Amino acid sequence: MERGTEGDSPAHGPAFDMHHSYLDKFASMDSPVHRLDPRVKTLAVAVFIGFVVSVGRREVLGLVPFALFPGILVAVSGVPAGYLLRRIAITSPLLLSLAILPPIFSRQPALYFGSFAVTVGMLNAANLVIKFCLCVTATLMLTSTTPFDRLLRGLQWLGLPKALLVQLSFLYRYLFVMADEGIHMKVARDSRLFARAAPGRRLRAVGGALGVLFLRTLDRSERIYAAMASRGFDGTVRTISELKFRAADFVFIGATAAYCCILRFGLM
Amino acid sequence: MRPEPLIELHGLSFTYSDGTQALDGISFQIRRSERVALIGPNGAGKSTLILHLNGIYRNATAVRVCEMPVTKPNLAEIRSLVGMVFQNADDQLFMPTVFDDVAFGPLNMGLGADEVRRRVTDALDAVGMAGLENKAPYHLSSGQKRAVAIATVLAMDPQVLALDEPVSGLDPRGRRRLIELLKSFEVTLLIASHDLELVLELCERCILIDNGRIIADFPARELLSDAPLLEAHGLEKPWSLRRSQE
Repeated sequence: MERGTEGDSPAHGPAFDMHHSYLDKFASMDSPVHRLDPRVKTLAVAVFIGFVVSVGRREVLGLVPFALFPGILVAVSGVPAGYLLRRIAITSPLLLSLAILPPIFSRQPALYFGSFAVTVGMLNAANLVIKFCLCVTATLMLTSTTPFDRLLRGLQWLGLPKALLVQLSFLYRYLFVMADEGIHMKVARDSRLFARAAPGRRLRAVGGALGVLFLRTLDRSERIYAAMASRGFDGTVRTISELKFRAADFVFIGATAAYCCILRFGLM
Repeated sequence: MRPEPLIELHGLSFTYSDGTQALDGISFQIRRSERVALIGPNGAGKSTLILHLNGIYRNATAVRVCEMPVTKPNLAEIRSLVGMVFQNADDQLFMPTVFDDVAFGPLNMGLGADEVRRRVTDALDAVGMAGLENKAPYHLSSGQKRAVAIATVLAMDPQVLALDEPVSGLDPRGRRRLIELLKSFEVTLLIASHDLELVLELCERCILIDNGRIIADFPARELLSDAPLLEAHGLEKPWSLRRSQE
């Protein structure tokens, strides 16, 4: 079911358990959300994020109904909520460092609960946290229900520059090859560098290792280019697009757009 | 009449930008449906030589492929004629899925979508990897990667298949499967390898190079029986040939 575990014999041992499943663990499951056309899904998420971001900075309660969209996606797709929460938690330090500022700097009261004054800064902070969670969840739902190659085709259709697409494709392909290489080097280093080594010495070892990793990456990129050129690469990466819109795709994008418009222009 | 030469080298020399002379006056021909091994110690120039065959390193005067000099206007055609399988399959499989990877070459040749699909299916069938189309290359085993790497080249329907160390890093079963696979091909083969048992099994002709020069170019069985010559160039007489003569 998971992409990372279905291979009959992975090419690396258990000590080096970096897997692509880390990136698109749930992408090869099957659900109505997974079956949506990647172009439609990407567009819908972009529209959703656009609407969420456009909501005023003091709005808090008005944002809550927007949670319906990612909520339905999560429920229908079967992607575990715990996984999403962990992913949101990973990005939260950035969020918290931003959300802590408004309550400090904008202290004028906006409304009262009894004698408790809610300041403008608090509203701004709450607004920021909710928007952030909505957008990150929607994006995570896009990436975790779409295999990466289909996601790239969706982005290509939406007009992302080719150079960027090729970069993303290679990043996805070689990130873990490089991580494996790094882990091998770390194991080799740890086998020879003991805890007694002075911190300065350890730091120099890390610096040297990073340099070697960089050179290895450079060598690899030349070998990959030779392999690409050998198969007639002329600057354009070509794929056969097998994407087809279905009725469900039009219903989905229509419903998403209508829902966003109603929330944005109807309720407020 | 002897079959026509597919690859002709006439005094090929090559010096790297740091001054290292990798190749020094290499000349030989490979004719259609020959199976030729290129052997020699590390640093002998095997990989450098192979990279000249499809114009990764270009030499228009010394290298001819199917009677064409390796010049820029000929590159696209030469690259579809000489299929290059590199030592590290991870370098060769660079697309997000196996299908996209095998389709990469045929699409660059300008073939239509239906023809490309047919070729992808045929190439994966030929290497026994049908059904892996939607897999990410990262999830394949080493043996599967090697087979798919060969499929990416077969899909271009090459006249010559040039392989650099095709079985390095494979376990004995993976190695055996790959040898049987290569045996089943009718295509002209050039294999650079340290695995002399493989050479003995697959190739009828063997070229020994060292320090960028051709030391010997003989029938494989004859060359691989010459223990002193092999040892002088960092190689070893294959075990199977020793036993049969003792």
